[in-house]
Amino acid sequence: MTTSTVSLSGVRKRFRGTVALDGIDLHLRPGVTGLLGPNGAGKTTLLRILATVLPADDGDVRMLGRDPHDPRQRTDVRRRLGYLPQELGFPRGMSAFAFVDYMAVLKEWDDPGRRHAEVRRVLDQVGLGDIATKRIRTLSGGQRRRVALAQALLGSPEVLVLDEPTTGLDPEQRASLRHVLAELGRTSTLLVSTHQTEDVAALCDRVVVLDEGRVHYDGPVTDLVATAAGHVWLSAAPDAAAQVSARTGSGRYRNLGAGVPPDGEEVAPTLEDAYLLLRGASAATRPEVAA
Amino acid sequence: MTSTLVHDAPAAAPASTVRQLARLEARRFGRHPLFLVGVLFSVITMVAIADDRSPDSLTNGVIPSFFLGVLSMVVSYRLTRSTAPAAEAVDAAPTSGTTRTAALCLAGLVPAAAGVVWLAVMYVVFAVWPPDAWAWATFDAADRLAIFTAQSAVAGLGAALLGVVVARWLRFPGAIVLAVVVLLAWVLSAQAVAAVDAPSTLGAALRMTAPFTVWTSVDPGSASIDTWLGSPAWHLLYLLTLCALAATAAMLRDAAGRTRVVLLRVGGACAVVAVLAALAATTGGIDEPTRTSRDGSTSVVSEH
Repeated sequence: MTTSTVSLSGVRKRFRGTVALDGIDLHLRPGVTGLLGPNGAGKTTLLRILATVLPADDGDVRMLGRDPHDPRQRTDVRRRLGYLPQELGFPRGMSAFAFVDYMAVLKEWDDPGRRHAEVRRVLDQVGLGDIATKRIRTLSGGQRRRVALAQALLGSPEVLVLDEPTTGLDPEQRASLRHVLAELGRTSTLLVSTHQTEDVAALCDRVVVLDEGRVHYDGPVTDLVATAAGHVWLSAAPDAAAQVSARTGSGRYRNLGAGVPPDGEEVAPTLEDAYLLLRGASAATRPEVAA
Repeated sequence: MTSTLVHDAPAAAPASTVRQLARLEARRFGRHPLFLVGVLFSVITMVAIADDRSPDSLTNGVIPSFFLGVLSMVVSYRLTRSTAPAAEAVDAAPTSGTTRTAALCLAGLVPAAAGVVWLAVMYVVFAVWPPDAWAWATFDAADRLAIFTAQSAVAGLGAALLGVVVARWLRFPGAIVLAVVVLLAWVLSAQAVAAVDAPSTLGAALRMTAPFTVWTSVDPGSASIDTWLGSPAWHLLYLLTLCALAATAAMLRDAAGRTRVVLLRVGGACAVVAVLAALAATTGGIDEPTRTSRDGSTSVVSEH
């Protein structure tokens, strides 16, 4: 069995009076793990702790066998870590190449020839090779997101922490990005926080659901999807008794819940169905919502 | 998007990273529009006064001090703050904040180099259009070199370092504007006190502890030059220690552990040298202000 590359035990974090993380236990190995949860669940806090930019208040954190609390070990972890923050701004006037090059220097790529080759490689990897010399402020939101992602991919790090990497990307770019991340996941440990359940379904072997600072589910994606089997129904009208009812593209309603609606037709659940059912009563969506 | 796997984590020595980073920051500094404006105005002003026959050549240094100095302070502030939007990613990189600050401080060598070039050009101008001998007042060649070096290369370096300090320690909007106003007020008030009462030790002390000072005043009819108190060489040393103090203070912001202890010790040593140099600058040089006339004769200025 492979040893955990990332290991958290009893990790807690508070911000003034608010509990952001409340005793997180998590052990990650090479592969792609999806992190789901509503806004305010503690996902970003968890990722920031793993990215070594935020210390935990309590509990034990081990990254690649090292303790990020110790300055020397933290530097060692950072040498083997890639991090895409939820929001990343850019220095004014920099081109995509210049920014990623700057980050490469910070990541100790000191040989200019090798560094420039690596910068070109990651920019190609995210599909920005042709516009690398354009100023970032002239790029679209999706392109900026890919510049941010490119810096995280420098050196194909052993641990990659990505906070909503697909935000702002069009469907084609998302599919392409999934392919890149899946490749990386063959050898690296990836933790991908997202609100896009389809990204998790397509990319991840494992999913962690976080809510109110606690792990509500941690296991294979297929197992989570399986928990929703027999609870998803299509019907002509919304089911008032359903936990969630949403109109689909065909004009019929997708109802989630234990009861069978009149004229209900059982369908195979998706990860989103399973996630919403897991969240249960706390899920924001009520009948007669999304169109 | 393409995908290839290259697990290739580099492991560079910190010195090598500082060099590379300093090179990047220096390039950004040298290309910054404000710095280029400063260089341009320094050149234009130099050309304009090249064959000027008025006997105030010793005040030429105000040109680079202002255009290279003040503008470099703003440039280095902006460069230092420019990565703030990307702080989350920058902080997750193995290069420490102290190393990043050290690189920014080294980029201050760009305005310093511009100051050296200005200095060299000015000496060429002096060789082509030599000022009258009496225009140097009581200062010999070494004093003049100290004065001009302080007002050009060291002014550029010091201002750039001060910009980094402000950016690292003062995080409120308009911090650099406030810093520039305080700096100018400090310099001008020190000169004003000396101008009102040239023989006073207080005036000399204020001038010698200011980051910029003039050394002479020419009378309105250009008939004589008054030399003010103070030692140019010791003032130059004082300014260099201020530069070292600024770099130390800037790096101290993110320093921890042993690095912090070392920086505090270096800062303490620099502070002691600065105080001693300021004392020597105030008490050194001529004993009393002197007035040099066009015929080369000198007399003591007892009252302004």
